[in-house]
Amino acid sequence: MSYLGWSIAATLVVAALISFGSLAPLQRIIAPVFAPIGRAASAVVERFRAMSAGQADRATLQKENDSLKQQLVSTELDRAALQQQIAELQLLRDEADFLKRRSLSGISARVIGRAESSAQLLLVDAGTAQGVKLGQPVLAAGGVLVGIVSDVNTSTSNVRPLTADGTSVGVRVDRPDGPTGILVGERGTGIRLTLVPKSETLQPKQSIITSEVNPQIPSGILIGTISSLRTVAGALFQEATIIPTIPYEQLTVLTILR
Amino acid sequence: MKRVFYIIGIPLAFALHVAMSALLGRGWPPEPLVVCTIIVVWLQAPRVFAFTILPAAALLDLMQANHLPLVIANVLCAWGVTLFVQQRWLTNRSTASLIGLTSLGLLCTTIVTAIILWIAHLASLTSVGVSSWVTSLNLFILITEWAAAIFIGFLLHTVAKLLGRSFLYATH
Repeated sequence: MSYLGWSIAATLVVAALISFGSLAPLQRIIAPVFAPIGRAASAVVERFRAMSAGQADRATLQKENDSLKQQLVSTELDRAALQQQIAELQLLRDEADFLKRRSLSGISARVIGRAESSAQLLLVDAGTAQGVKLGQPVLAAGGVLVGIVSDVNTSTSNVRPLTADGTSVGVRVDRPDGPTGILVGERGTGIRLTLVPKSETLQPKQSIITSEVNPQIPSGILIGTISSLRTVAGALFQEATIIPTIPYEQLTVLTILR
Repeated sequence: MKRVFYIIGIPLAFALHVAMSALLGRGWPPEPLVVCTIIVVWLQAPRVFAFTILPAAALLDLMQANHLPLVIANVLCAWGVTLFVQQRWLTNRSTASLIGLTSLGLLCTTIVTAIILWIAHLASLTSVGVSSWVTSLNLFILITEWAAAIFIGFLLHTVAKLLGRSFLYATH
């Protein structure tokens, strides 16, 4: 009988003994040797499986992370739009309160465009269809005069800011018997107060409001504050530089007074 | 040298079986020793079978607590059936014969397992009935065993060709 035959025969005997449970003593002897081998093999496989699961988890987390990033961007955009709407609503409310306090009526309009030189001309989404007329004063942020309607179309209008060339508004210093003067625009970059008699006292930080001389503009509407004084020796009048109460670059919602 | 290989091969085969059971242990465990048996028969290298796979199968059955020599039975069945078929019909080491032997070997071991479990259940030697075994029999594991036998067998055959036939094949 060959080695192969003896091996098969021995294996069959072992199988029979296993079936009858006669090899328990032998099992107790070899278990301490082979049980650690089995545990080590299982441990290696478990570690491999854990690594694979870790890779899968990482891929899943990466996907979730990308998805959450997109959601975050979307939410940020929504939040920004919402904040913009809230800010505009607040502006409209302030302007409505102002109009109510002064018993005035106005037309709300949104700035939808600007001229190439943004400080020279604003395009708003209200025109003759909404009752806008040429020369009407334009207010912002709770009653601050920012410009005059310079051109009217059916559904849009052009607003010339007070800083634009050619703008001329009668104003006075906001105090009892405050001196009057004429406010003119300076090339879209600033506002200058002119024709104030030298005998009158002007001081920085004094508020400038509209006077009673403008036919279409109610008096007492805030424009800005005096920044610096300019006095020329020998001249009859003094001048001052005015800082607008609102930066004109940030105008979004306006009220056109009827 | 060959004795060293056999001595190392037994615990390696044991560890391989345990590792595969841990890796693919869903339902009925996989039997890599059956896969090895089929490959060994196809490569016509029975000494490896006799001195490595058979002791490893005996060791595995010995370490199990169920008193059923399932691994020995499956290894012997796969060896007997595939060797008989190979000597009669599939006499070469072609891919077709490997596929045929693998399919036949795995089918026979599945049937033998069912028969052993059925008899053991009737004799109250095990609580595992044939119906519960069929339920837990995983098609994925069967396919994995089938694919592994073909892939590894073909790979070993190619390696043997490249390194010289005496490296792997036994002389009878």
